[in-house]
Amino acid sequence: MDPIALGLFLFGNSIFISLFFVYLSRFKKHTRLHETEMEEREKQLKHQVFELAVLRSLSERAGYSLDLRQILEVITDSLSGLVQYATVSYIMMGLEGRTILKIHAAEGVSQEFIDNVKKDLTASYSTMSGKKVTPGLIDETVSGGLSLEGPSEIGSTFNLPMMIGSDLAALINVSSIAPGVYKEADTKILYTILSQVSASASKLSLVVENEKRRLSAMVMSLTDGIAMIDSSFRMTVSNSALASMLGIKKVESLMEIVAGVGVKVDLEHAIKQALISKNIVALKEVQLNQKYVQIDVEPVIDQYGYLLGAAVVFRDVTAARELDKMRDEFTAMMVHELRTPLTTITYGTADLMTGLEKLSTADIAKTIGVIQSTTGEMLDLVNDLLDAAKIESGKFEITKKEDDLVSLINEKITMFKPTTDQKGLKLVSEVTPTLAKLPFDRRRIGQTLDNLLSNAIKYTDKGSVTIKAEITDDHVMISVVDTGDGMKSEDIAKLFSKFEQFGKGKSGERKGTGLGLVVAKGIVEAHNGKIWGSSTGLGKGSTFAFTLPLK
Amino acid sequence: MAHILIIEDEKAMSDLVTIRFKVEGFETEQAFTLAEAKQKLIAGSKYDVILTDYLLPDGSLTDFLTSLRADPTLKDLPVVIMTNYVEDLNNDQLKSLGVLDILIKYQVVPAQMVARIKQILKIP
Repeated sequence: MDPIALGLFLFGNSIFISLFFVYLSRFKKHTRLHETEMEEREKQLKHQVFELAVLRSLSERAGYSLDLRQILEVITDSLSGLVQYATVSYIMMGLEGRTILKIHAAEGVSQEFIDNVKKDLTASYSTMSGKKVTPGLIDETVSGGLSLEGPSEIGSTFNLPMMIGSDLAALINVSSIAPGVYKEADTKILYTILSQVSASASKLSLVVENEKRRLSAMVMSLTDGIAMIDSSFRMTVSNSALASMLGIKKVESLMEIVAGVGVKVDLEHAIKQALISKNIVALKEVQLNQKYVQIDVEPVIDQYGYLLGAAVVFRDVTAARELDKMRDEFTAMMVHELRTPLTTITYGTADLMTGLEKLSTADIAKTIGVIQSTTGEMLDLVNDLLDAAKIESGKFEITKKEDDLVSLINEKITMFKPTTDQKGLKLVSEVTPTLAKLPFDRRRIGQTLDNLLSNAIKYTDKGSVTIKAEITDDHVMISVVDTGDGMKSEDIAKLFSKFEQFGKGKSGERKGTGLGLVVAKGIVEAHNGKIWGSSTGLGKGSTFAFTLPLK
Repeated sequence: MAHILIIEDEKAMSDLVTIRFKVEGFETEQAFTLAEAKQKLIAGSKYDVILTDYLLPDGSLTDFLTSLRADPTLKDLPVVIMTNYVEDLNNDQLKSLGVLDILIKYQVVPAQMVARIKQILKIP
């Protein structure tokens, strides 16, 4: 319910109650007033208080479950202060052609008395509402005291129709053992009060309805699958996310949900548990239509502690599971990447230590060379891992300084020239020599150039590797173009992702973990630049380029 | 002198294993891919044993061994696997393809590989 409306409502009530006390104190002062007149006034006030009490109880109990039955309970409860009776009862329409009948006995009456009330009330209700009451379909509750010796005849009785809008919603019956205790005037007043209560209750249920509609709209738009189950295990609300998780068009009943989740989880038991314990019950993760789904059952309790039912929440945790899987695969790959060079180093040292006498000087030199280069590779790998972890957690830092990019590129060309010469490749430089100084981290950009150049050389067997630097607007664009293996377009994006490595490197050479490009991306982005790769296809060469802002 | 074909795509590792076999009196040949190994086998070189990695960049070792066994001149050639991926192996299938032993790379050093191959070839 709208909190402002509820606030005003309660505030209004408290004013009325204060007024009542003001009136009472006045009565005490004006003792000259005629006794019957006073009694009349007191009666009026009693009626007023009754009306207010009923409305107040209703407003307090009105959660999302404000229903006719609750209103009737409140009204019949409150009647005791107003009229004398042996039984107070109500009858109303239930679900699926059933009728709800409740009889409360205030004094000890016999079973016959109850039966008579029941017969009269059922007949009146059937006549007034024009609805058929099937004897076998009456949900009957009898409370209060029964007595074997109690009278069986109804002395006096009256019915109060409860109207909502223009429809007869329910019929209230008040019966007494003594004859002639209810005067027409009394019942008329009660009827008037009930009409007012009904009108207020209708308004209140409208507010509740609106809130319900708003809530339903919210539930419908959620990405989690949700179903509301009431305390009698009926599904009241469900959303389309739930239907799509279960692979059906629309969820119509709790049974469909139970069937949809399969036998691995006992959803009904979980709902029962949640309703009894009033605590959230988390179920085992299940796989539904290739998705990992976490199911939770939460009891729904209104602000007055009234248990409304349970919400069954289906959370799609597929993305999290996939990430876990990728992490595991990445860890396994890293372990292997470290195990291979460590094994190689062990081979080298074992050979030198236990079988040295058989090795020629050339063999010794080769073995030491292998140990040295493998150690270097491992160090690079560990550094890349550390950098990638820093980039991932946002802790990667660079130190920019006005520096000469052309000199850095020339340095790298000198460094890689022996390798390209050895492979019979041409290493070409197409750099604008007039490039002014710009701010960048020389060590980190050097690392990026190392990565792009060594990749280009590794994947090119004939032709050339060209490094270019050109100015475009406010950026300088550095690109490394090769005539090598090239790439499939769908693989290019994967190159820059930590978890998505594809294939092995070229045989007989360092395989690489693919972390180099992940780190390169982190470095370039820390400079507010962009990095990308492109290729016209397998066997057609690749281009990797990045930009750096001039300022 | 026994002739060994070492199939291993990691050059550094291959070089160290090769050096040890060489100094222990083997005639050695290195192949870095299955294609290269196939070429060397077809070229008619006579090998007494193959020592091979399990995961190679250009294909499945199982397929390679299956086609090897289909060749009458190679059907009895002893094969020993060296790998770090023990979990991935189907031992029964490999045995049926004539694999005599599976060495776990990080548990042995080249000298032990030599000893095991000598044992298989009954070289004193």
